[in-house]
Amino acid sequence: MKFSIQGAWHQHQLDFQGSFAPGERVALLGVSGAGKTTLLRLLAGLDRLPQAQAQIEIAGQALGRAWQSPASLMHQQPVMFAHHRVEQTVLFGARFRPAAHRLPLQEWAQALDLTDLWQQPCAQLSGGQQQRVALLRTLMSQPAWLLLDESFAALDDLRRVRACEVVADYCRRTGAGLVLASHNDSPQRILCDSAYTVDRLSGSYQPKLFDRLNRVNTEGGMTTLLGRAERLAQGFLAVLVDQQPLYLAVPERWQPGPARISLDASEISIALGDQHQTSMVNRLRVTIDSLLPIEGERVAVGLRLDQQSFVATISLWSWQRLQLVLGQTVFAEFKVAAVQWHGQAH
Amino acid sequence: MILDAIGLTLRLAGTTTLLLLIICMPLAAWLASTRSRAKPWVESLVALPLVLPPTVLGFYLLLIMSPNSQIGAAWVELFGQSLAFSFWGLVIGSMAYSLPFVVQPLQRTFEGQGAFIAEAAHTLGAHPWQTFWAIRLPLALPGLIAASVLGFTHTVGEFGVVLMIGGNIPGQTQVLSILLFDQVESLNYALAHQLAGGLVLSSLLVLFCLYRWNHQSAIRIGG
Repeated sequence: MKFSIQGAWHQHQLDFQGSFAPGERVALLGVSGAGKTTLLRLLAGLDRLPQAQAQIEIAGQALGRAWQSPASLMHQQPVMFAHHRVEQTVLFGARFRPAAHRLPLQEWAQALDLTDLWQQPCAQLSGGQQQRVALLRTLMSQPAWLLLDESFAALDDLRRVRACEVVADYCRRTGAGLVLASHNDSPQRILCDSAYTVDRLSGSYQPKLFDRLNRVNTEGGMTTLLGRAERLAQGFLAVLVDQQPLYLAVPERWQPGPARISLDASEISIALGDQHQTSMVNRLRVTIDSLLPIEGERVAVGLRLDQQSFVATISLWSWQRLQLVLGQTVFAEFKVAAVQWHGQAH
Repeated sequence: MILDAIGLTLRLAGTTTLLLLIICMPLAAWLASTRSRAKPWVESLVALPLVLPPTVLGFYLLLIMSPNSQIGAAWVELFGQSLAFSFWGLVIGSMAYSLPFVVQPLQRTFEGQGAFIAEAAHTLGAHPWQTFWAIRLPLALPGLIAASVLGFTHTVGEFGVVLMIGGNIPGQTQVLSILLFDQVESLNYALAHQLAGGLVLSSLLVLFCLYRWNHQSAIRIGG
């Protein structure tokens, strides 16, 4: 998908430039009101600028009207057709674009917890149910690009993770790309690889999502590490992060392969010596590469592994007591229980 | 005589309503979603029969339909019969007269659907026509029924336009309301009572059924 959008839109100046590889999964970042929905609507062909101001090319063809576009947008407020039952509305999604792939409808309906609702009228569903139905309907329309606008907002944690797994499965089977705007960054940590940041109706692209997401802001921050799920060891799952093993509670579903794990930056402490690793504490050998004072007598310490970096927030007092300096090799420690499984997007 | 008038009235109202629905559905769908500058003009034209005395409308229609006008002459050329004082002349007059009663409920219904309904279908790949048949029209069903009933009953009740362009030819243009006027004029109150009372009761019954059905369907689809 390539787009170059520069022009006036409702008395504001737009400036969106970008080029995403086929099948790329892009997190759309930005505060509310920055223009994420505006961009998604333009990419879906629902809003249009004159040809001279907006050149949008999706899956190799210039974007025409919304119904000709190979991209599907799922609205922030799920749209239900009140005269449909769940089954009807999901099959309605499958009616228009050529069915290039066979999709496991039953399996996904089960994963999204929709089988009991299958014959219910859409008008009687709750917000979270509508969101899951609309998601399945959108997937069944087989878009080459999936544009999701806060599509997991009404779901609880477990259902959100399951819905993300279904989306990941869809992208794997069809090679579809994904642009995902989400207030809660957990779906992006599960699904996305790169970032497109929107600020006051202009956008910029960052190829590495976690370099961007793992920064600490004033409220603290999550950190996500990419690794490989390897094996079970003494009741834990071992994940290899840049050749170093890390342990966490065995997730509900996993298979060997790429894995994402997240933890809160404030759960990480820094130790100088390599004491033994216990079954309770993870220890990663890292290099200190940055330091940023934050609120409340604390510092955000940038830590570098071979391929990726993450952040620990520690007290200024600890920093001084340990006499830490940039470039020093130390050990990042965190409890096994602090680690969250964030899926296996690829 | 009464049966002739009843039959003619129902035939006129049915034909008028059917033709109006065909014309008004796309018109109302367009009015509900357009941002065109022509919209207030079109809306005013559509609403005009609400405020005009029916005789004004009937007068102009009569002029247009007369064989002396170009349109009237063309009609005679085509069908070998004058449009004025004929059944099809009445149909055209009734359509003009009942237009707002069909367009307005339809327009409100389409407006009530909001833009997102159509957008959501488009973004699944559904063409506007497919969206209209599969989504917008079924969702507009309560409005469609209301529009048909209002158009039908309003045509049954029309008087001025029919009198102007149809006259009072039994079996051809003598509808119930004209027959009623005729009976009152000749002081035949017994028959006039039957006709007037019948119209009141049947209209009330139809409207009651409509509102009751609307109420239930609103509950059913949570609208």
